[in-house]
Amino acid sequence: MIPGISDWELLDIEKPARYVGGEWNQPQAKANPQLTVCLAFPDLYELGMSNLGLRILYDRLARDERIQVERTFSPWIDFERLLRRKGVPLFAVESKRPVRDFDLLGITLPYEMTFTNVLNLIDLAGLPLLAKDRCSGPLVIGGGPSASNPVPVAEFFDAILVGDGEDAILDIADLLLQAKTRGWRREEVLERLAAIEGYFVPRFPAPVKRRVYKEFGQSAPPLKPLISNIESVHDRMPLEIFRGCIQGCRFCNAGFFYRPKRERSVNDLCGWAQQILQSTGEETLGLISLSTSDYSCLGELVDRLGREKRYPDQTLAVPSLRMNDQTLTLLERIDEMKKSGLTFAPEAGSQRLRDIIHKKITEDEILHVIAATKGSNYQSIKLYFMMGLPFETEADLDAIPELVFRIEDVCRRERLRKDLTISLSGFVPKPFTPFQWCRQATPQELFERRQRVCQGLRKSRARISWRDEFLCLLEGVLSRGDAQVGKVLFEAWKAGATFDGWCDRFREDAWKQAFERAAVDPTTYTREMSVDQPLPWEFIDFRTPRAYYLDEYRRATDLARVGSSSVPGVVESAEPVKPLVEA
Amino acid sequence: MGDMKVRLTFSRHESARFISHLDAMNHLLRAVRRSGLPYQVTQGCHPRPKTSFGPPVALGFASRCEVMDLTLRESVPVEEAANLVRQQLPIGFGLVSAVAVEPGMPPLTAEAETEFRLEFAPDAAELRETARRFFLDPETRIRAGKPGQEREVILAGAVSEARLVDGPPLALHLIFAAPAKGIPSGAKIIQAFLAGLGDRRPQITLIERVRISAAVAVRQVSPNHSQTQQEVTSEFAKNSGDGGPV
Repeated sequence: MIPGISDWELLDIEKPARYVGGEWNQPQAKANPQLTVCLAFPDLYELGMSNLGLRILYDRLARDERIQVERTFSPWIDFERLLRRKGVPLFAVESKRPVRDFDLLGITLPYEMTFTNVLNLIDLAGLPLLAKDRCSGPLVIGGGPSASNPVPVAEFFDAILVGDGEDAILDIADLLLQAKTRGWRREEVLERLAAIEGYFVPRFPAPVKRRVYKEFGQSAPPLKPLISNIESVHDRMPLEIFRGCIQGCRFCNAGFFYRPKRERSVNDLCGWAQQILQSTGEETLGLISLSTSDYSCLGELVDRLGREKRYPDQTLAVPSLRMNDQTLTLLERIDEMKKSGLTFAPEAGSQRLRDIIHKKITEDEILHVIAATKGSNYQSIKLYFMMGLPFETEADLDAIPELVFRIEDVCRRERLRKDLTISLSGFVPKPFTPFQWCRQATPQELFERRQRVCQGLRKSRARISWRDEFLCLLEGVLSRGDAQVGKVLFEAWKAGATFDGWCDRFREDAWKQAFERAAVDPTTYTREMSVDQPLPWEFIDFRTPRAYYLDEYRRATDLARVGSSSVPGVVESAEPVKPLVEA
Repeated sequence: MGDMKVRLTFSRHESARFISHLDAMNHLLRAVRRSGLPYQVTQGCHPRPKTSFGPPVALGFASRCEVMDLTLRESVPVEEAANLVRQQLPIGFGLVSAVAVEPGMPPLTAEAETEFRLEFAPDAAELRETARRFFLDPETRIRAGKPGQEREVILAGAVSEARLVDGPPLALHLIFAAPAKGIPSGAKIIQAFLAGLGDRRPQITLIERVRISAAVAVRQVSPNHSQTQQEVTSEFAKNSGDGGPV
């Protein structure tokens, strides 16, 4: 099955189906491909197989007759141990060929906590970690939402794509095909790559402009997506209904990374949905976007998908809903909906703070939507809140339990038997957002705030989950880092850090040691950054002017100063509010 | 035209051996959806094709008898149903037989006699003999039960037959009686044997569940449209001849 590894050894590890390939819809191997590309996901197979970006790029490349595209994923600890013990290099799951034999290795950067896995993937492939040490072997490129600031990972990559990958991946494939015919050297290829929009090539620094796939609205999604061998994290077939977001939440990087909003038509979506369902046999279709309630014809789309059912057991999953009228309309069409959980993100407990972060929902809307779940099939409701937001006060924190109690009151009044879960996490300032300059609360501050909120919730029946405070710090450092952070990353990996996003695998000690060895103080990256100095990532043109972010930041500051609310009916506080953290 | 129930027997080889029973069931349900057959759906919160499945096979074991009863809303000729499903099977899965379930046929949950085939490397005749003695010895004891609640079990009578087949490849056919109370399933007994082999495991090149008596196909589909039992066997022999599968 896998060269160098016996089937018996494969059976000794957890979930061997992660590594054997052969999924339904896996394309036939091309007879004489001119270019080989391996797409890697730096986390477990079941997460990677749910990743929309990977599906899209795989599909784009697989449709080109000249290109053989394959996949690889981070092996879990047990399999990594086996690979290293047997001296077997990381391989692609389709052909089992070593990754290092491909022409191009494209690694998705889905979230910062996979960065040590990225290093581990490169190492397991048997390639030198630093781009400058790689004279042969595949070009190693990265891309994805956490490439907004590519500086911390720059020295490990030959190039990093900032923005949409649909066309950009074909551009680099074309470039490599040309390079083969014309016999270009690696350096020559990289120099040319630096001239292609969206690509940041550390060896040839040049202005980088975020890539936008303008044809998104008219282009078909992958119509024959692969079916994971083992149950994937999101048990549904994703259908991306639009890209981009119009909300402009001041903390949200994705809102700026995926701009502008590009919608697909109801007609197209319904046709594609039919083809996807037919080619996969999956019964659940997930309508995917950053904020599904903002799709302009959501009601019509849901109606049509409900009418044009391919399977009698077909259901719809609609994640990323906002608590607004559109959602209320949607909840009326409950028959077609998947009977699982509803997830909302009020983000802040008080109206004041929701205004400051530009989360445009009111408490009335929240309570209305909760009440409207009566009679729906949704069994559970999960609410996301952030702590440590800029300009947060104790009253804002206390507003979280207060809101939860009012939601529980609604549930009691309406006799809703829903499982309520409250998820708390620390605010992390992200590049290319109006809050990119803000100070991040320390782990100790976040811990104290969580204690305060949990104390406030002690009489609530809601289940509470939270994100580790040190992880928040680390995400902040990796998000707003510079080249020095790359050194820390390297040291952390050397100290054994991998799968940092997994609670049971996260090695706080390895990271603390890494900061020491690299002589880097993490607070350098979590403190307030000056609006007068260029930020490490500002060499990238993100297609939103700096002045806009600054203006939005100032608006938030003004709102915090006057302590007022833009929403009618909400009482303005008489006293200026003192923030817990000076933003 | 009323409801009908069709009993589909699948094989699982190659990479499909590494897929868990639960995941394999889901793959087969997707194949049923894709097939376009007019399947009945279950009632309740999570409707799905109305099916029942035979007993699971251990991870890594091949099988020629993964059985699924599928309820259809309307009558469909069995061979047509078989054809439609066969075209939708993922790599490593095959359709062995399809029959209409008739009154009196045993349900898939019925206690069943099970036959396994173990194949050995050409130089592993001694290990095969050790295996035969292990399975037939009435005094053989194994540890069984959930982790933390394991107990010692005497296998006496669990294996009703251990037959040597001098291929090539060298093989041992084991017939396990329908499980009695407290006696582990055939797959678990084989796994207990394997656990004691250590480095010698690679001398076993394939473990395959070849038959579950209660679920055995009564009527094969037409040879024009499907592999018969014999064809499956010969194809399988060809596959296993190059030492590929376990």
